[in-house]
Amino acid sequence: MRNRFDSQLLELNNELIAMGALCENAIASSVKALLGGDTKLAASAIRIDQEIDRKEREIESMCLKLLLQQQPVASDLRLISSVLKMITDIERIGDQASDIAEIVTYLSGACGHNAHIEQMAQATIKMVTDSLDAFVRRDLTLAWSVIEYDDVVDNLFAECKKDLIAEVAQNPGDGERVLDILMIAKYLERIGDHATNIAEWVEFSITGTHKAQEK
Amino acid sequence: MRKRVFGSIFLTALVTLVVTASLLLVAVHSGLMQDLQERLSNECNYIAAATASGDEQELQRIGSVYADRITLVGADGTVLYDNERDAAEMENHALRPEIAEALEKGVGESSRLSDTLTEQTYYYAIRLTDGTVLRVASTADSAFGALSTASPWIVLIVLLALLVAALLASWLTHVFLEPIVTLDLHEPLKNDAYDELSPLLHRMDKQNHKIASQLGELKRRQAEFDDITARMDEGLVLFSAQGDILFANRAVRALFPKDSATGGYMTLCRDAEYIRVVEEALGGESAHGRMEKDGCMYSLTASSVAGEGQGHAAVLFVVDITEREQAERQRQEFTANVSHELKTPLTSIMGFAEIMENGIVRPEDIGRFAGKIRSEAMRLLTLIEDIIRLSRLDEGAPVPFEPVELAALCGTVRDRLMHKAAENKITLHVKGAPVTVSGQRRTLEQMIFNLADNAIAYNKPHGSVTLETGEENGAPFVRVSDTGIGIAPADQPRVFERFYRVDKSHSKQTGGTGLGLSIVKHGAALHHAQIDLHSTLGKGTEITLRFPKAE
Repeated sequence: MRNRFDSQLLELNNELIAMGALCENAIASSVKALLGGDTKLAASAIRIDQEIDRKEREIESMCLKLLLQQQPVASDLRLISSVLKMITDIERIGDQASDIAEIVTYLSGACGHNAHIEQMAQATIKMVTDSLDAFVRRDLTLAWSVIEYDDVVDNLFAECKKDLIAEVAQNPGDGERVLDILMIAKYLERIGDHATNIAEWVEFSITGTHKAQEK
Repeated sequence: MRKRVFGSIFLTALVTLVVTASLLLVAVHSGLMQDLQERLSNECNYIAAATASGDEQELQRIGSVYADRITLVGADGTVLYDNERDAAEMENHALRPEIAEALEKGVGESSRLSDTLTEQTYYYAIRLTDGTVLRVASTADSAFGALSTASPWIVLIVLLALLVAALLASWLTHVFLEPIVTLDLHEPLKNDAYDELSPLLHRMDKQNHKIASQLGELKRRQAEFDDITARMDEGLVLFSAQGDILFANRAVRALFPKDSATGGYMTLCRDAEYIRVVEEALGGESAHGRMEKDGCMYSLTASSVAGEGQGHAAVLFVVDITEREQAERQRQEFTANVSHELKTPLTSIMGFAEIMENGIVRPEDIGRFAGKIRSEAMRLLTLIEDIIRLSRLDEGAPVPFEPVELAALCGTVRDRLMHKAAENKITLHVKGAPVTVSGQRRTLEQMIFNLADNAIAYNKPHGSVTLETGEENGAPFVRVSDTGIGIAPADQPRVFERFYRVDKSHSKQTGGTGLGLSIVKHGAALHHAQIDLHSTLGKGTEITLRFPKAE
């Protein structure tokens, strides 16, 4: 009985990693589409998002089944409950990646050469990858570094906003495009926040304390 | 075993005890009974003698002091006298076995158990001369009776015996089993145990040796496997049918340094292509893929291994193909460039020749046209020569090394380029101390020539080119510096590539083949020399060839 529970936990673990991999894939595709203006990649990001949604439901039902049937305690309970929370964040990241991809499809010609957007995209990808790595390896230090790294993304967002204000002041006819790019920047910033949440839940699954409780 | 040995010893002791005790009881009891019977018959005879001819008074006197029961029965069975009960009330005794026997044979005896079975009464009867029968009876405890009277003692004795038996059994068990328990299984033959165990121990010894040798063999193979896989540059990962990583070699661990490479296959890497390849292999099919990681390309090859149970295990090979891809791309570029570069002069030649063939050209222009054809052909020839030179360097043709003096070589190069320099209004200097290296004279001259030629071609009017030779820390060097246009930092790593040109539109003007620096690079590699390039855009370029120290 317990043996079966262990293998179920392992499966849950693997499923979450698989979902994370899909999510990374979705962001990578939409960012590539954003920087290269490739609508094919944008379409694939949207398709991956649907897969992520399906995966979320699967993992959710797995978690609930485990909670009901096995009545886990201690670290097992922490793992399952944090997985339950993490999938929401991962799913949101997938949504935002697909939103970016959607904007890219009608954003005629790439985003222009906005260095800060590019940096932001790389930074958020790094955050998501690191937060998932922290989960895979149960690496507390990495989780903390992700939580701290969110400030970098926030600063980049502020920089980006300044750039766009300057741009629209210079060229008022370009307003719509600038707004679209602002939306993309905001989505990227939100992805960073979700990655932070994931890292916080990783921390909870390891230590049993969550950032929200400490304050 | 201990339990069983203890049990058997204890049971044996118990059974022996019980059987002995009961047999003893029976034997002792029957002896007692026999004594009783003998006593009774004797007494009866005495009494009979004493009361000869049925003297009832005498009998009464004896009966009153006598402990046993005395009965006198008439010939018809009526009781005439009894010393314990009233004779008148007693029934006819003719049918009692001892009386009947005595009446018939003169002597009779019998024994009867009481109703409770605990007492046994013995009767002995004699027919007197007057026909009456004298009977003496005595009551004693029966075997059961004896047993029940002694029962507290018996229980005590049995308990005591059991205790002793248990202690003994446990001690014996310990003694018997000691040699077996303390057997040294690693070296079975060194044990001093029972002879009966020696076949077992011999067998064990043989198997120990077999196991040791097989284990050694396994360890050796494992070490061999580890050694081979550790030396491999290719990454090797083995997956179980469940997708867990069973083994990952050093190359893989270096490729994914932060991963512990344990657990599911996704703990190693979450690249989409990697996941696809591994999943296909676990599904029972071979799969190939390419994965990009940290700017390098890796080829992934996974094959499935049919296991005994359900599912497939998988083997994954990770090969770094960055260099191969780059080489492939360079080769393709080179081929494309060569064909382009060969085609351009030929097209010109064809054009001029065609015009001349059609007779459109005026006779006085024919000389000029022929000159153009010659110069284009010349260019073609230079190009082909360069390609041949380069391919020779590629092949590493075995030309012997000889001592070459570099300062003199620079002088030769200067002489060869004097005319071109003057045309471009550039001054050419040679300075520095003479220095000798071991190398191929023609290749070295070509290298310096190419460098100086470039320095002139990519210079500004009234600029200068300096060829300097000398030694730095005992290592010979040649430095070609110019005051030319310089090379942008982004182009600096690429100028040594074949046909690479910083400014593609000027190739015709400067007349190079795009192979000059490539030849320098290959020549430097042949001479184990190092190329240092320092350049500032608009200021000039300085290229130094540093040769290894002379031995």
